[in-house]
Amino acid sequence: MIDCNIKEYTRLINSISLAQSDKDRIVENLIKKRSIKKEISGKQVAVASVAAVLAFGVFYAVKAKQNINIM
Amino acid sequence: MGIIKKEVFTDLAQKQNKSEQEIKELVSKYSSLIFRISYCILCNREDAEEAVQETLLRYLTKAPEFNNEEHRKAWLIKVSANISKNMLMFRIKRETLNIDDLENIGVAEKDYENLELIMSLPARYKIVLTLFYVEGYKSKEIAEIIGISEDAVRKRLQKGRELLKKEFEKGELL
Repeated sequence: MIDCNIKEYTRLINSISLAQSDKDRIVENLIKKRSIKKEISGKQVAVASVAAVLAFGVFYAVKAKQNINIM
Repeated sequence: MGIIKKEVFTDLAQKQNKSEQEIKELVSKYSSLIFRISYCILCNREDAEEAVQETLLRYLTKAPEFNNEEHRKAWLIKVSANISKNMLMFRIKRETLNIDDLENIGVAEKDYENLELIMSLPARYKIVLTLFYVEGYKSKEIAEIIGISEDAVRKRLQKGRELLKKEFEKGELL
């Protein structure tokens, strides 16, 4: 059996809601933030690729130098 | 060549519209639920709204595949609760509710005092009470959503009911 305190709790929590204007603002912000995140992730991928290529290049350059020294 | 470009452009525009539509539907369907959960933890309208945005953004960028609608809802509740708890850790806890907040969250003026009493309960009890009585989840489901044992859920429900009763008696309301 649900007592009156719980009934009141349920009623009050259920009455908490967002106005349509707030929802519209959230939609607007989400559209903006999502496109920013996409841009960032694109940039991050590009930076990571360049870093990987550079690391690869440095690794082989060092290795080549070591080989030259041995010879 | 021009036709291809136009087709590509139209496709992109359609995708853009579709994603905007998707976001609108998502906000309309789940924002109030997430807001309620976050408000129970944060007791602050602005922060709760921020938690809603962060949760939905995470959904849009990182959500896994869902088996059904209930699975999706449970995921959103779990993520919003975690985000709200994290936000709470990084800000000074508010002792009282802001009256302007109450005006803006759809609560009638006659209910302000009762809502203040409810919000003075610790967040861990409010979450369990809300999921059980407001959202209609069973103890086992709540345990899975918030990551505690079923026993702990039952204890929190019992303690939450006791605290609620005490608060209402103290306030001599109802």
